[in-house]
Amino acid sequence: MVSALGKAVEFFREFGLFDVLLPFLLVFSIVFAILEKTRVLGEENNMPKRSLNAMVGFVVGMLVIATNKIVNIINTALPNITLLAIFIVMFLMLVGIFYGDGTFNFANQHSATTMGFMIALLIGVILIVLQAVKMDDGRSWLGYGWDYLMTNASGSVVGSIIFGIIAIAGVVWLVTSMPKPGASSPPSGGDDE
Amino acid sequence: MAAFNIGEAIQFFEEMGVYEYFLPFLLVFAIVFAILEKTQVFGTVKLAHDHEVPRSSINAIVAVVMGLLLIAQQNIVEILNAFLPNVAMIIVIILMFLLVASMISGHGAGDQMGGFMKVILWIAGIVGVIALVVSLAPTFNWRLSTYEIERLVSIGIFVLLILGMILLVTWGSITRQRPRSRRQPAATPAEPPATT
Repeated sequence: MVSALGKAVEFFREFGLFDVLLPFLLVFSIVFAILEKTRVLGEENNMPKRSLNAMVGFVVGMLVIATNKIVNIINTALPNITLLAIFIVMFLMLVGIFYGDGTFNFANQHSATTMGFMIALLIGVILIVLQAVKMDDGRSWLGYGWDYLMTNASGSVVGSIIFGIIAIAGVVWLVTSMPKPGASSPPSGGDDE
Repeated sequence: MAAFNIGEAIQFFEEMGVYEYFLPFLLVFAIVFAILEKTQVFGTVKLAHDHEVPRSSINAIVAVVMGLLLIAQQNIVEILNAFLPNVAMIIVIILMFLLVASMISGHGAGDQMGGFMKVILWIAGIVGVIALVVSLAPTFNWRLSTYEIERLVSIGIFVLLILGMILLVTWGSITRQRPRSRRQPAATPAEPPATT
């Protein structure tokens, strides 16, 4: 049995709310906000040119909803990214049990762990987007990549990619973890840069 | 007059679709709006007295769109509905554990504890994460074939080997340089007693 709210959502789906209106609203508001924040199109009386920003936001929004593939990617990827955000909030809630009163500032108290989380989140978002982008035969890019990885795991391409990633990560870690030569000297010496 | 029955009320809400549409939308809206307000991704607006506030209207629009897009995907809503009660259960389990642990440790929050209790809390945290993953596995249908597991294990061993070699080579030089930078600030508090 379809519930009352379910019927309403179904009506909105047929109306085109999810395929046209919401993606347009999202793209318009994001582009408008970025233009207002960065003031790329210039200023007028120390204020951003609102009408120009709105016009550019409107055009970009209309162009996006005209491209069916991009709307599909938005509709598939965004709920998954939101789900990821909910998982993180739930995780922080679980971790927060062990902490005392006051604002829970995970980033300041565990900067290294936060960096690790950010890298994991970046990988997660990339995977979600790759899953959302479909090829002509209906397979996602992530599925294609996974199949390629599984069939060619012992091949030279996969091996060299993994080796390259590890080598770069190792060098970055090595460079950042070693104290700088001028770091232990008193501040008056100051030739860190 | 019919008596109020909370079970029937919940049944009514279920039939109305509150659990499938309204609550997930509310949750996503609240979380996305709060994150956008906290991070101020879309910048701030200057009010009177140079008081800056986040662009709440744009944040609200983005949060509403995210919420509506999520409730349109019922498979994700199903994952949420299966996942959230598990989180609540894990919270209750951890709280019960803390209740037992606090009998031994005494007063203080978890981050103020030290030594053995800290190790136990770390173990509890790791167990919590594993429990989360296990509770999520059926909803995501996480199942790997034997072939895939073998491949992943071989890649994992390769990665671990290289990481181990990097650690082996660099560990000595890092540990040799670290104590020097730690020892230096420790020398300053020793000076006042020498002068007196």
